[in-house]
Amino acid sequence: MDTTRKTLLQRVRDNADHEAWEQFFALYAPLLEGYARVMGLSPSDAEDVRDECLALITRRMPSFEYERAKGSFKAWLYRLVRGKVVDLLRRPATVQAPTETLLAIEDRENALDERWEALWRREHLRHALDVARKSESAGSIEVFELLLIDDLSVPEVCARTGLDSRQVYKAKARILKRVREVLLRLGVEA
Amino acid sequence: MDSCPVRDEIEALALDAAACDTATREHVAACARCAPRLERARRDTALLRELRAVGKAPRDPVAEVPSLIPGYTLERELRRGGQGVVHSARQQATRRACAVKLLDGVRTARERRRFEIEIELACRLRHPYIVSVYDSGVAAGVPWFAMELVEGQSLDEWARESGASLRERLELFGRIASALAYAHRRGVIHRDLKPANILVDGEGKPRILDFGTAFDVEAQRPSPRVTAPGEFLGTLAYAAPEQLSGDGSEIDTRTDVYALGLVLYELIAGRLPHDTSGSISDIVARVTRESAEPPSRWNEELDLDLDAIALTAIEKDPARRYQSVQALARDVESYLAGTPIQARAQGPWQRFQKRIVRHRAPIAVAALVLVIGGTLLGAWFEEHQRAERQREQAALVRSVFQDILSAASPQRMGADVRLLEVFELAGRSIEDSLRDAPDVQGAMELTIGDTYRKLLRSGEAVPHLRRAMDRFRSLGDPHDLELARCANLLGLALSDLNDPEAIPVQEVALAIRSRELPKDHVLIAESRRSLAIALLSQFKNVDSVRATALLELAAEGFRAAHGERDPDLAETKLWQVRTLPESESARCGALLDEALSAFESTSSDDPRTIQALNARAAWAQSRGDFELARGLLDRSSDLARRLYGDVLATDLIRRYARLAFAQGDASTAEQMSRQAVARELVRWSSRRPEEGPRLRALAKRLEEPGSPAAEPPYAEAFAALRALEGNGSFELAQWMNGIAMTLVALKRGTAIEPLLHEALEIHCRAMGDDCPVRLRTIELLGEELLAEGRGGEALPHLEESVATYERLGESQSPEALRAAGLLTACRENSSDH
Repeated sequence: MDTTRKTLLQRVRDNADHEAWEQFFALYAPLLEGYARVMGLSPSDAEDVRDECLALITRRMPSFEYERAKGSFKAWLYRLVRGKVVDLLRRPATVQAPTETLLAIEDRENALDERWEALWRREHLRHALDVARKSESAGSIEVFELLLIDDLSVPEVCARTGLDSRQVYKAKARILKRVREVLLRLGVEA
Repeated sequence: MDSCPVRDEIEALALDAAACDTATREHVAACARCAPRLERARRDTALLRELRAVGKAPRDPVAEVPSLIPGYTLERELRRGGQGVVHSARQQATRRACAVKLLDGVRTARERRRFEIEIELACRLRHPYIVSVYDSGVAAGVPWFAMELVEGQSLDEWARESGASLRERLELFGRIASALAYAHRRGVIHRDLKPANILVDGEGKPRILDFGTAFDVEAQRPSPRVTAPGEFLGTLAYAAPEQLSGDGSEIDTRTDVYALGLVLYELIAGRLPHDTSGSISDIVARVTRESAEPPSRWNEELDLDLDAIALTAIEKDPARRYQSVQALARDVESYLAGTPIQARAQGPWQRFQKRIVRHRAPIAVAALVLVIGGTLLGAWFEEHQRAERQREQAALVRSVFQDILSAASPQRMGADVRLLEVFELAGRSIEDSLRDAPDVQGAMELTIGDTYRKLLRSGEAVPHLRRAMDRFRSLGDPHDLELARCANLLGLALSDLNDPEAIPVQEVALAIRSRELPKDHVLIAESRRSLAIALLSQFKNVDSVRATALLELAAEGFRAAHGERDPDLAETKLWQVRTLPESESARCGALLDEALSAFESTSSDDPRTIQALNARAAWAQSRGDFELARGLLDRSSDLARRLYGDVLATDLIRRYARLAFAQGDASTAEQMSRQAVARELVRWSSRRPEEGPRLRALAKRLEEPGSPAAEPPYAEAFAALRALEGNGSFELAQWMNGIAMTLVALKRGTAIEPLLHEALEIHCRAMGDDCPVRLRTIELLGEELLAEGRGGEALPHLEESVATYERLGESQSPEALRAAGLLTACRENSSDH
């Protein structure tokens, strides 16, 4: 089957699609760990939360009803990680966990909190960027890194690389297009 | 402008709307080709910006500490909280060590606003015991401030580790209070005062930190925009009731008085007044409703004045607290100076004027029970569940038990924890953590209920077993056998309580097992025996014919399954003895001997051996073999002590008393009875601390009457026991009868009349009018009245008794003849007058 047309969540329903699982972990592991950290857990507790969630996800994903639950994977994952974080915060050893945090996560409405939204977006962008970096040509990447990381303007990039501005714009457009494709398939607006 | 601008110009416009000349801008806005080009370029620029921020952000979102805060070198992380992270740092210009707090990670606008307010308020406060702020700013979008670096411990660490005396603790508290009073004068309420927010330096000087949730009284900030309505800031365990229940409008300086009161409480008592384990709603319920224990309960060194100060500071109603921090500080000063304090001992702790000594099982025992319970349950699941769910459930059970045990650790609940408290905790924990696993929930409730029953606390077992039944019932067919097991245990517990509901419950269990199991299965025998027990435990309308038949079938079942020496068969025989009429005394003796030897041949101590020994002793006593009876009771009490400690002591003393009475030694019997009643009162006093002193005083008066002529306060003691048992049990009435008999024999009538009236009333309610024991009581009462020359009053009682025997067709029984004789004597007596 044409893997590029399927979303990552559809692909990981197949246990044998190792590449999909690799991407899946690369994307969600830092997200889960990051959320646990933001909620005030220590690095080692956050790793525990991440691992417990991933263990559960690997068991559940093959049967995850993506079509029916479209758009709710984010909420599902949020409830999962939130539950694990609460468990850890409630442990007597961490009894002085900030109440605000506890109350925020006990919220009955299950509304996604702002931090989750922010981290969700950030980690998806990061993932899309990583995918784009891997799939585009070295030349495009070099241009893009100069624009992106070194914060150079187009004339500065031209001066540095000897390319003309049309080529620089083209490299930039290609990478951004790729990033948008990946994000689109992950259901993230860009 | 006619031609469209080049790409460079579009890109420049996307970066900066004011770029290019006016003509170009106007063209782009109007041109059907250029407007979408600009729009695309803008979207690209926005995405690029976002990607740039992401690319530069470190993977760990809380590690986003700006590497450089201008003028400072950041060192190690000191603390992390809900409101930011604190690093130790060095000011480059002065080389001065300081602490830098910054708002790291992914933050909402509200959090940023709150952090800015903290900086503003902290800057306003200059006090030796409040941490001082040096400098503040925003670096790479992250707000920060630099403050004094305090080398020391948090107050809770200091309280645990410094070994400071009570006086030193109170003096330190006075300094903290003075700093808080200063903040209040400057219009700042802290709102999140707790030991973790108070540092104590090497010289023992405190510093209050973290005005991150502080409230500016004058400016009425944080505004609703910063604190959402109903949003609670602070740490739950230290929150005042009005913070937990109100909308925030009631928060004033008295909220800090409450928190300071908790700090005082913890400093002197070594713990908080409320249990802070469990779900948030549990804690909120406790803090807002339960009254606090006086701190002296946890620390013997404390006296009533300190109790009064601490409890006044943490009154639930702000109006009843100290109205200012100064007032609280003044009372602590007065206390230290030995002058009178303002707080008055009031409310619940007055009742605690005498220190309560509660009977406590050490935590180790409780832990053991639960660990064993947990292990058994784990094993039970491995056995019963399909493979895929097996490990998951066993793990769930283990983790719940672990939670219970860690929540019940001595650090959290005081030096030792009563078994009961651990169990209560277990109950709550099961509700909370196993909501989605009714099968596990049911099994755990069942284990707890069973354990209660094994500890001879059937009353407490019943609610757990009922819940277990509900769970299994809701699960339907596949769990029918679990449901039957549950019903069996619930029925046994109800039988222990002489509750008629035991019968239908056991009928359910028997029906399920008969349906699901082969007909010679040993569990069917068990259910038959259990149903017989339910029938025999009733006060009224005992169906002994059915019970006899069931026991016969049960005995056959056990015999067929496990042979003649089966302990379950032995127990069945003990119950069969109860169904036999007196005329079959020899068969009784034989059954009892068989049962006893079966129990004795098993290697471990079976608790039912106690029952067998007691029954055998009673039989020997009825045959006049007093030496044998005494020997058997001695063995029974040894075993009872080994298995249950003191729990059965009262019961055994009563048995010894009956033996003494049967031997004609009424005086010893009476003395023992008094001892037993006194023990029972003392036992209750540990369960009802609020009545403890009264019950123990009563027990003392029973054991040592003030003067030789004074009668022990039997009636008062039984009235108390009756109230404690919730209106009195059949057993209690029997006990009263026994004592009345000894007193009649000793001719100490004045003490017993009220006792007999009490007993009569209990009998009537429990068993109706025809109960033989009630008739016996009536006769005793008649006999007593007669002996006192009050034949006129005795007459109606005895007439009723004789009439009842006639109605029952037993007018020729020895008891009836005796009653008739008494009636005749009574009539003669009254005609004499």
